Amino acid sequence: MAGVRGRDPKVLFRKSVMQVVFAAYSVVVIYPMVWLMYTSFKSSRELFANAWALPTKLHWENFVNAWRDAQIGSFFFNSVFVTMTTVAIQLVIGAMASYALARYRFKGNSLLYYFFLAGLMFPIFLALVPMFFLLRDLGLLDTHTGLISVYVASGIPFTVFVLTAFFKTIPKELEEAGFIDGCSHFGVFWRIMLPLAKPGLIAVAIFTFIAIWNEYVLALVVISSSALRTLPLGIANLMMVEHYKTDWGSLFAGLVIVMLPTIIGYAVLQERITKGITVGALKG
Amino acid sequence: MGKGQWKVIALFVSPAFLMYGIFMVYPYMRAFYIGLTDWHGVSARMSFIGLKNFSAMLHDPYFWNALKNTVFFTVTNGTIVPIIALFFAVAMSRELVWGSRFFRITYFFPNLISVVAIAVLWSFVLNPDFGILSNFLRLLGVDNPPPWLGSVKTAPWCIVAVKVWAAVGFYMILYLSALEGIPTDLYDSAKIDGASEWKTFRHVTFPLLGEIMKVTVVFLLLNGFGTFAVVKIMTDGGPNRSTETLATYLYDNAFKFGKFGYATAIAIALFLITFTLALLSIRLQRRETVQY
Amino acid sequence: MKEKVGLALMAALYMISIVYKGRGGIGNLDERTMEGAFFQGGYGMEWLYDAGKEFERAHPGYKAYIWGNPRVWDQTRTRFLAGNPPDVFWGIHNINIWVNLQEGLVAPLDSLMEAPAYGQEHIKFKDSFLPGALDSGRYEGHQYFLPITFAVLGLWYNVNMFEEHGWRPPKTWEEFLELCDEIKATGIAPLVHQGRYPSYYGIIFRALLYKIGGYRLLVDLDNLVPGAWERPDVVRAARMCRELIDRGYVLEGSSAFTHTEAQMVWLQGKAAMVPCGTWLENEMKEAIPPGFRMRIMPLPAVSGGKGSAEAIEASAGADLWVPAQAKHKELGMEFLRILLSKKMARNFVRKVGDLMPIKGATEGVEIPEALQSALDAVREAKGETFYMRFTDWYEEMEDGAENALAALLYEGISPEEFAYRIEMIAQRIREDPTIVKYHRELPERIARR
Repeated sequence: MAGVRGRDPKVLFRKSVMQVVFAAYSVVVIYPMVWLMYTSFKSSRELFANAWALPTKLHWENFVNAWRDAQIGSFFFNSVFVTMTTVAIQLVIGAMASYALARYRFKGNSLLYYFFLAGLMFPIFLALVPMFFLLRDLGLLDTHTGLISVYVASGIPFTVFVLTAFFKTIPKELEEAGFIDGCSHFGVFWRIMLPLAKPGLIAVAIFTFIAIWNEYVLALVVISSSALRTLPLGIANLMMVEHYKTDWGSLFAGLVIVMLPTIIGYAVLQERITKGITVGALKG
Repeated sequence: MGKGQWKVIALFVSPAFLMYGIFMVYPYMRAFYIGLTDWHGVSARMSFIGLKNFSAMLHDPYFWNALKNTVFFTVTNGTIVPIIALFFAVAMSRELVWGSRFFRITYFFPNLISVVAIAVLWSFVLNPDFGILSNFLRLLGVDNPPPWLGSVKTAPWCIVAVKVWAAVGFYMILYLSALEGIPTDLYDSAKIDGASEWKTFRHVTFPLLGEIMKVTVVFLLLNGFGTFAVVKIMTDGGPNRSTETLATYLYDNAFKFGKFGYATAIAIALFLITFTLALLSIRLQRRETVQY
Repeated sequence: MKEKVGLALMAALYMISIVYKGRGGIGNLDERTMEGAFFQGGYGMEWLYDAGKEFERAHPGYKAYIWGNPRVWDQTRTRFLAGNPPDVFWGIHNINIWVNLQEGLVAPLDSLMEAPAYGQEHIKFKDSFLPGALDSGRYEGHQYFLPITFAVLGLWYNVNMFEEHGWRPPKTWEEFLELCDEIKATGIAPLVHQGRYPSYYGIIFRALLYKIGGYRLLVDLDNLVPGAWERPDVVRAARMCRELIDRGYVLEGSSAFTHTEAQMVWLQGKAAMVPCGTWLENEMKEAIPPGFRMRIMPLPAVSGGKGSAEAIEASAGADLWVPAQAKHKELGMEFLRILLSKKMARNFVRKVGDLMPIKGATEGVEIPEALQSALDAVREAKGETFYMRFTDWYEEMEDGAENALAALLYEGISPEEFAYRIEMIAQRIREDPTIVKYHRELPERIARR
């Protein structure tokens, strides 16, 4: 069909205009990042002298400074740990609750559902201040455990929202077949329902991952030790430090280190992520 | 519905219930009390002052200014992003452009970067001296490009642009997948009727996207209402409060002026507005479903 | 298959992260460790680490744990709330130390003040400071805050550029405008400023306030005397601030620059002058081109004004303190005694090129040209140095004045409107009984005249 349409000169003209628009926007998206990459090899003085120019000499020390002095390496692993733990816990407990809400009829079911959902409407800023106190009283201030607890809790409304919708679409017969085969309630959940809900779980996992990986405000409040910082905290901090040291090269290098892993990860998992987003949004 | 079922339900629900109850609901509830105090947030001393924070808010011109800016970011975010994203998505799905796979991948890049990194990156892009935007304009012969983040006229639009830049790819993919669900025979019959591309969009595509459009717009509105990190890092609310949002204003009140009580009162106001917005949208959607 | 590999990779990454993630918060240090948390800014950290080493030398068996961050207050706020603060604290950003004082977070330093000075045991600690340097840290008869630096603020100029063109620091406002015209004619911007933080332009504004209205005006403004902010002198100073922009003396785009960006542009010779304080040279250390020379000049005198051409802003802003809830307050005070000693003050000049308000801080030290120019300027001012306090005392005033200044410079509000806006904030503070009010008197040497 495309071939037939392509021969029409009017369509051809329109297609070229479109092509230009699309190409222009991809420059808008890609060029700032490319600029960032090659600027990260320049010294501050070079940057100011000519913003466009390629580096005259590769200042690898920018990367060394960012990795070593600014501890970007250690922040990276903190982020991996916090994010993956959060995603795992959230999937398990979120799926369990959603399953019960979707598949069992009981008094107060919808009340409970809306109780969970209400969390979607609260701005996180409202909780910041009392959160200090709570975590302090529990001895969780400035710990990864504290941060993960808060992350898990804050993600539950969304998880329940998406997964409940998912579990509701699964035909009842499958469940009943499981019971007839002698499965326990948990067995049915684990062996039958969870695999069926896999697209939903993946969607939630990806959403949660992106959200937690980039989260800044809660981490700012909970974490105060530099050793425990996550990447967004680390990069914001690096920006402030470099502002006083006039060493922009290291800041750019730090940004590159932060961006590269996710972009590579995306390039590899591209199809999956796209599908996950689609599933999550359409069901949710 | 045996009696044992209650045990099962309790077992399944309680982990999520407890985590959510302790680390979300409880702090929120407590926040409502803090909003009624004059707490400074550096020691335990706080006294109950009733609704004073709220009456102060009504008379606080900066609060109204922040609200105005927030509404601006909300509206722009909720309109510009879906329009651009939809434009790209439709053009791709109707095969009006070559290489859509490449664009699909690259346009999504900004969504992979943390907002903090985006804000830092764009502060450099928009730098009036060495930033690439100003230098590009100079190449084109513009002598005095505006100081972008340094002027009340341009700064709010720069924030909007960055927010749009960061979000478009994500929504484009959403719309694309929704469009893929539209049966091709609908397009074919439109083509037989001799409908133009615009007419096809207007009468076939758009109506079928109703549901997803509504969901995404509500989501974008909420997201716009909570605008924080981009502003905090790029302009810190300036110049002259022209980009200050409710979220940054309450953050400053708490962490800069030490007025935690007042800040919490602003947070409550922010919540009430968000809540109303969300409730309204649920209402709207329910009505749609009934018609269906 | 692909999926399994992916999962395995993720699991491996997770395992690695468990091994390499950071652990352990600070704030649980042992009994013999003194912890100091400091603002990491233009001065860097080295001078503080040096003082830490000196502390450990003087007290074998004890350790000094020193760390810094540009947002040190944000970083430690939770620890203050938890009642577990560091033993010495110096925060600049976002902090209002006067609110902290009222909240009971600040320990009085009276015993430290009476202790002998470190390395010169024959004099008391309090007598080792420059005259007047301790004033701003006292409240109701007690010393709560100590000054780290004696900063001199004015216009910095590019010495090579000035010499090349035969320009000289002007003495009167008219000369200043003429000079700016000359500079502009060469295609160089006379001024650049740190527009993201309008308070830097405040250096020009405050100097003009003094040159017009003299010290009495500054004191009245600080004390929020009703109507003071709307006096004609204030409006005139505002109009002059604006005049520099209207005449095109300020580099286009300045309004968007952060402090270091603006200073960088100045270092590159795109502008001839920049308002800043004595920390400038160290802040830009990594970016100063070889052979670049900088000197400070005061703002010029104004016709009919009360201040002389030589008068310059100089202040020992006191903001170093010991948290009242600190576990080792005595160690914190001991660290302060060492940090603010003559020995470390001389080290400070050497490492940072700036001045601590300690007597004899420059003895036997080679002084860089930038700092020397500031010392010369203070000497030439013959006691006519000034500073303002309202921004330290009232965060809202700081914020409000900054915004009003930005509006004056870039949005074309009138000087009258500018003055009115600040007066309104002052009025709000006056009428708010929950805000603790502060008061200052005319400095003795001025009052005596």
